[in-house]
Amino acid sequence: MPHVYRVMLELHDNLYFATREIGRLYETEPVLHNYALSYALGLVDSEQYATTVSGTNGYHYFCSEQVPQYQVHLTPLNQQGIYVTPARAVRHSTVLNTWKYADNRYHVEMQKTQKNIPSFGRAKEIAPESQFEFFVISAQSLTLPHWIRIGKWMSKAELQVKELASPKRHPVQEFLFPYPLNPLDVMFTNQVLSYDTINMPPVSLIRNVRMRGDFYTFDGLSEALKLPANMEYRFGD
Amino acid sequence: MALLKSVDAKFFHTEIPYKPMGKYAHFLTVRVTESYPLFQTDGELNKARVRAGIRDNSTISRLAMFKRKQSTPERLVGRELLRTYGLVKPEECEYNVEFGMDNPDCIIYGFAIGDSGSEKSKVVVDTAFSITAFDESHETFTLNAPFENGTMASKGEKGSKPGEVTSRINQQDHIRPQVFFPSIVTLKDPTEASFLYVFNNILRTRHYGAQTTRTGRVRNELLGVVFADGEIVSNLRWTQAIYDQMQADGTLKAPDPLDEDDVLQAATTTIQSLMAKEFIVHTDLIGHDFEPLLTEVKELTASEAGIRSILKQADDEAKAYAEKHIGKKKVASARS
Repeated sequence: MPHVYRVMLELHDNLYFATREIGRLYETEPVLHNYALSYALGLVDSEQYATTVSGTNGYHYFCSEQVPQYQVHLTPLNQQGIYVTPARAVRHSTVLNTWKYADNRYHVEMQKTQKNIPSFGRAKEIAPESQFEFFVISAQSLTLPHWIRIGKWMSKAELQVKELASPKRHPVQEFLFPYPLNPLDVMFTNQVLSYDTINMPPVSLIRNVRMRGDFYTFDGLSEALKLPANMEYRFGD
Repeated sequence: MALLKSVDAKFFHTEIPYKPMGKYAHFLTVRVTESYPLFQTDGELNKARVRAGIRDNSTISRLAMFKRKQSTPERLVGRELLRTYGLVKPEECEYNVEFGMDNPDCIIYGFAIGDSGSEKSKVVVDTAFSITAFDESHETFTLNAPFENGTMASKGEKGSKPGEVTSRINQQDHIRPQVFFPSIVTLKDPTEASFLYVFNNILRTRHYGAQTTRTGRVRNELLGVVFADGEIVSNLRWTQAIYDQMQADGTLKAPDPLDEDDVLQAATTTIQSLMAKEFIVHTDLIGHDFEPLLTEVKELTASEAGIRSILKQADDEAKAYAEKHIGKKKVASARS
C-alpha cells in the first residue's frame, strides 16, 4: 500500500501567480496547481527523492528559454510512484496590489511602450494565513519540508504533513471526489463522469468529480474521503 | 582564497553551482525605521490583517514591507559598489533596462530577459510585518506647498490672483520612527564571496521605500546568521513569536514606541526557540556566537582593500559561472 499524506499549507506571505490576465488585472485563483506544488515541494530533479533529470533538461538556476519542461521533469516522479494532487483553499482572503517596474534612477518617466507588455498592473493576491489542503501519494515514505516557497514571488508557506492511517484500496466503483484534480492525470485510468472545471494554465483542473475507478479510504477520518487511486502525471502527446 | 576565518568553509560552495544544491544562509535582521518611511501601493500604506501572536490569536492590522521593497534597495547598493570599483560599467548593465548577465548582481540576485533567458535569484526575502499594530505605527501628515512668504494665500505670484488660497495641500500616512520589522534574508547556495556581498548590502542599505521622499531611513540590525540545509521559519511566525514574548514580558507599551533593547532581546530568544523546533540540519550563529563573524565582516567591508577583495572574488565567480553555464552573451537580443 502506498503512503498517503494529507498536507495543510498555510501562507505566511502574499501569494501571487497569474491564473488569468484580464487586461492589466492579474488574478490569482485560490487553487494551487499540482505541477506548481510538485516543484515547490522540491520533488523535481532531486537526489533525495531519486527523481534526477538527466542531461541539460534538469532544473537549473539559469533558464535559456521560457519553455516549461513538465513532461521531462515530472516523469521521474511517476517512476518513484510519487503523485501530488492540486490544492483547494480551506479558507482564504485576497488583496489587490498595484505593481510597477522599478527604475535605477531617482525618477521614472512613463515612456511609450514599445513592446506589448504593461509596465504596471494590478495583481489580485492571496493573503497571508490563508490555508490550502492537498494530498501526496507515494510508494516510499516521504519526508516533506516544513517550509516551502510558492508562486511568482516565492512566498513562504508552512506545511503540516499528516500521514493518513492504513489506506484501503477498493475496486472499481462510482464515487465523488469534491476536491480539485488534474483531469489529464485521472482520465486515462478512471472513468470521469461529471465535474466542474477550474480554468487555469497550463492544464485546467476539475473538481466535484464523479467518477468510476479504484479508490482509497482511510481509517479514523471524520469525513468519508475517497481518494482516487491510479493517479500519475500524464501529458497530452 | 578564504576571506573569513570565523566561519567553517563547509557552509560555502567553492564555485556558484548551476542547480540548487540545498545550502542556505539565512540572515536574521530586524529592520528599524529611523525616520518616516513610506511603503505603499495605491496611495495607501501596505498593511495586512493577521494574527497578533502565536499564542494571542486575536487579529490585528500590521504594516507590511513587501519583499521587493526590501531586496531592490539592497541590490542597488551592491550595484553602486560594483560601479564604484569599476567592475560593472554603467552602460553594460542597467537595472531592469539591460542586464550584463555576468556580474555578481545579475548572478546572485537574478534577472529575466525575454529571449536571452533568465537567472533565478539566489536571494529571497519575505514580506516583513511590523511587530506593533498599524494604528500605533503610523501618523498622518498634512503636506502643503506654501508660497515663499510662508502662507497659503497668494500675493499675486506668477499668474495667480492676489488673496487666492492655493489648494496645494494633501495628506499622507507615514510610518513612525522606531517601528520594527523582523525580516530574514535567505541566500541560496552561497559561495564565500556571494555571502559577503549580500551581507555587506544588508549592512550598508540605509533607505527603503519611496525614494523621492528622502524620509525612508531604516537601519538593519543583524542578529545572526543561520546556515541550514533548508528553509527556516517565516517572518510572520517570528514576528508573532516576538509579539507574544513581549506581551508576556510586559514590554508592549502602546502607544509608546517599543524599546529597541527589548525588541532585540525578544527577537533573539524567540528565533532561538523557533529554530530549536525546526527539523532540518542547521548551525546558528546568534548572539555571542555571531559577534566574531560580524566583527570580521565589518573590518573587511570597512577598508577599501577588503571590499575590493570581496567584489573582485564575487565578480570572478560570476564571470566563471556565466562563461560555463550561460555561454556567450546574445548581445543583440539582450538589447532588444
